[in-house]
Amino acid sequence: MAADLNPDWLACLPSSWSYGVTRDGRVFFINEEAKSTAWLHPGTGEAVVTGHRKTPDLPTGWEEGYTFEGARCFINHNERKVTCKHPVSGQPSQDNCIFVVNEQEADHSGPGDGSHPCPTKTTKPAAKAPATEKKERPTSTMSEASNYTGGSNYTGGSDYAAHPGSPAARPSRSSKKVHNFGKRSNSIKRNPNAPVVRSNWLYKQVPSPDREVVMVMLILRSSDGPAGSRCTLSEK
Amino acid sequence: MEQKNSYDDYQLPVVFLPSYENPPAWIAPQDRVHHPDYNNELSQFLPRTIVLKKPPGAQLGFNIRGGKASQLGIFISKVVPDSDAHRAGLQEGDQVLSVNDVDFQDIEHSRAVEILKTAREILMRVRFFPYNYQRQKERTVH
Repeated sequence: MAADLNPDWLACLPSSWSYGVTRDGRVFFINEEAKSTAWLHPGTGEAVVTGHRKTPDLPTGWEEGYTFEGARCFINHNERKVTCKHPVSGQPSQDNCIFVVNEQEADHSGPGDGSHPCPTKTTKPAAKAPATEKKERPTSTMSEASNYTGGSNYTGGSDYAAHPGSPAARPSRSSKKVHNFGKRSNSIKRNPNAPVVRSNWLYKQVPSPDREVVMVMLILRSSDGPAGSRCTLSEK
Repeated sequence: MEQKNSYDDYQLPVVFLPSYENPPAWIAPQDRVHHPDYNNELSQFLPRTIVLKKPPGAQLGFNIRGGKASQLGIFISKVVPDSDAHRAGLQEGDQVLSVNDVDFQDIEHSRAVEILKTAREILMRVRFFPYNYQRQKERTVH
């Protein structure tokens, strides 16, 4: 435990620097001379605890993050910006094929910055097959999508008031499972005329992990389902 | 086929990149003792080890949430009061880093549940990290 009490990054702080810890557990560094703060460690040039991830393929001072909806993005702590392009390959992440990543609301660049905003990337959606063809989906791009939409959290009372097709009450857990299938079927049928919000709702319900989560919940009470990503259409 | 045709018009969801989130602004040292983003001890957020023994058929004493699909990791969402887990110091908001040498930071939820359910003795590395726990809860779909 001694190593834990004195993390390595503490030992090599330059003399005019100290560190702070936010109320939610993130670590930042304080330059007492310049009266500034940064997420990056002044010696290593890397972030320590920010809630994002450092992956081996990223340069110094970069981290991988995700939008609220689950699209992958890259955080450039050196210039304090967020981008959807991988800093080495220059390409948007393949994981983002189910999203259109719009950078219009990214932070403004400083003067003289030659970087360009990411072009809007549009990918054709995977063809939605009728029910009889559902079994073939796991081998297609839907398996990627399932990582992002995940299942719903079933531990609390579910509130489906936003979706007019859902009944208000469900008597037991087993009927919850049955109802879940029914809801998905209704969502699929309604899609042609549904507004965007409902389309996103449909999207969340399609992936197979949903079914898996339900089964897990029936077996082991102590687990929660995975948190799903909420697809929200931003309005200007 | 009519149903399939209508899906050709399906729009991919448009997402916007989040703004860069700056660290807390610099403040004078004498003001830090009162500032909620400056007056926190690092020790409460450092990784620690929890050891639990679970007799066959016994409850774990805690709930987990998250997994690969949520992209933010596995978190303890509830600890049963007066359970062994509670006495060991496990709390809501703890991120599970590993269990019995299995890395939990990028694991599927179902696999995490299976590992915890089948283990007889659990050696769990956790760290309290409310930032990502809160972000994950905000993204939960009910």
